[in-house]
Amino acid sequence: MAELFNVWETVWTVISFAIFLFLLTRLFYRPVMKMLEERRQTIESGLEEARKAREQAEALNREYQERLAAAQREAQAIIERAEQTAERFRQERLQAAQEEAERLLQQARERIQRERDDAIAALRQEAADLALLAAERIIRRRLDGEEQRRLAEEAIAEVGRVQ
Amino acid sequence: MISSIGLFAAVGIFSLALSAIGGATAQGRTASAAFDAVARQPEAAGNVQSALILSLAFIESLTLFVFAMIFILAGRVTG
Amino acid sequence: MSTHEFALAASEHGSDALFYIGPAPVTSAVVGLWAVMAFILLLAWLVTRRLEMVPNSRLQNVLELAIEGLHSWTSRIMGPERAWRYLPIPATFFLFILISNYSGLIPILPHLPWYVPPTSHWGVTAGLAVFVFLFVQYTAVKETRGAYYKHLFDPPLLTPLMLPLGIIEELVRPFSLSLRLFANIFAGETALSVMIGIVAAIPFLLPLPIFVTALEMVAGFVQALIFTTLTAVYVGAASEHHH
Repeated sequence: MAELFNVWETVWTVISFAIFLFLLTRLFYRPVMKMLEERRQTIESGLEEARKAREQAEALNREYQERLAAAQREAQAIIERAEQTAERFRQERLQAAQEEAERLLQQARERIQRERDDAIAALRQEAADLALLAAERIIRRRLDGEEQRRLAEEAIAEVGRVQ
Repeated sequence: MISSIGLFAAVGIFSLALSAIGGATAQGRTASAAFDAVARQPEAAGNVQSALILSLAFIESLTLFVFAMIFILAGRVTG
Repeated sequence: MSTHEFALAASEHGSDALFYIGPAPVTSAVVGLWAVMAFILLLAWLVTRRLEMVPNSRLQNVLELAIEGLHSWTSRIMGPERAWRYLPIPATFFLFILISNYSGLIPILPHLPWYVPPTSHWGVTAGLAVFVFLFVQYTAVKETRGAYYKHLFDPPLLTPLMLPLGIIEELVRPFSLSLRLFANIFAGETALSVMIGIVAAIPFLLPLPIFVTALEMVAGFVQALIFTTLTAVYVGAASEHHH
């Protein structure tokens, strides 16, 4: 009759299992666990590197953004300055033009005045000449009498009034 | 006249059935309590599951102890 | 089953010696023990022969998955650091017991005269449990310099009561640990052989042994896990540093 419990089997198991565990640890667990540990470290360092790279990229991006903003501000300032200059220049030109126009107007007025005066003087001269001419003719025609003298006097008086 | 082997077989089967009833009842209660716990706290499902398997195994082993005892004694009776 | 057959089933259990090495008889369970161990060593050799950090063999993937799964399982018991350090112990028990349990479900293997699944023999499971017991004592002495044994004297006044209880508990552990595993696998195989006997008489009951086989697939896995978990619990308790 076979026994349900064979103590030799227990002895064999304890000894065999100790050897088995030793062999399996050497052959299997050590390389596998070492590999898993290395893989874990590789993944961790990879993640760490990725995190650093991302931070670097973010810093770079921030710097670029800042530089871009500064450049934009500068450009804005340059445009404003240019606009101001242009405005000032325009004002100056406008003023100069106005002054020029004023001056030309003044010149024109003066010239007109002068020419008018000249014209009046010329007219007066002409009138006197004409009067003289007329007087001469009259005197030539009727150089007699009181009347002629009176006429001459009148003409002279006339001329004198105009003078 | 009942032989000693026949008597042993009858008692053995009866006690095995009795322990199976007890074990089944206990396992049912355990499983029901575990499912209640998971329903209340689904996030603890992992821990409940491992505790459930352990508890079921402990209960199960009582029935199997009876089974093993019957076999051990069967060797004595028939041998 | 007649009484004769019942006795036959018990004797077929096969604890008879195949041959002797010195005074020690080698039974079919011992051959099975060595066969399972050799099979696992072969698998390990196949995997470690070309171990890749980026795995490209299915076998490596499966074994890595098993290792990682066992680590996360035992981490819940003793924390990830100690779980990693002691991983070979529970992992070896798990692989050995699982493969041994499943070997009993392959239809041909249990009918070879020189092979039985080692975990279906109490002698073998007792050996495994004794190994756990010895390893726990070794860990307690080496890791905590015996601080583990303080719990035997915990309430100083109750030492006369607690000491025998603690010692009995410590000694009962290998008993229940081995009996649970053995009884489960042995009961499963007995049920399976009874079912096959029934099918031989009544062929249309074929679904019965298939159903039992499926049940035993679950039970074989759970029992391997239970043994592993309890081993981790015992080793975890023995290696725990109290501050």
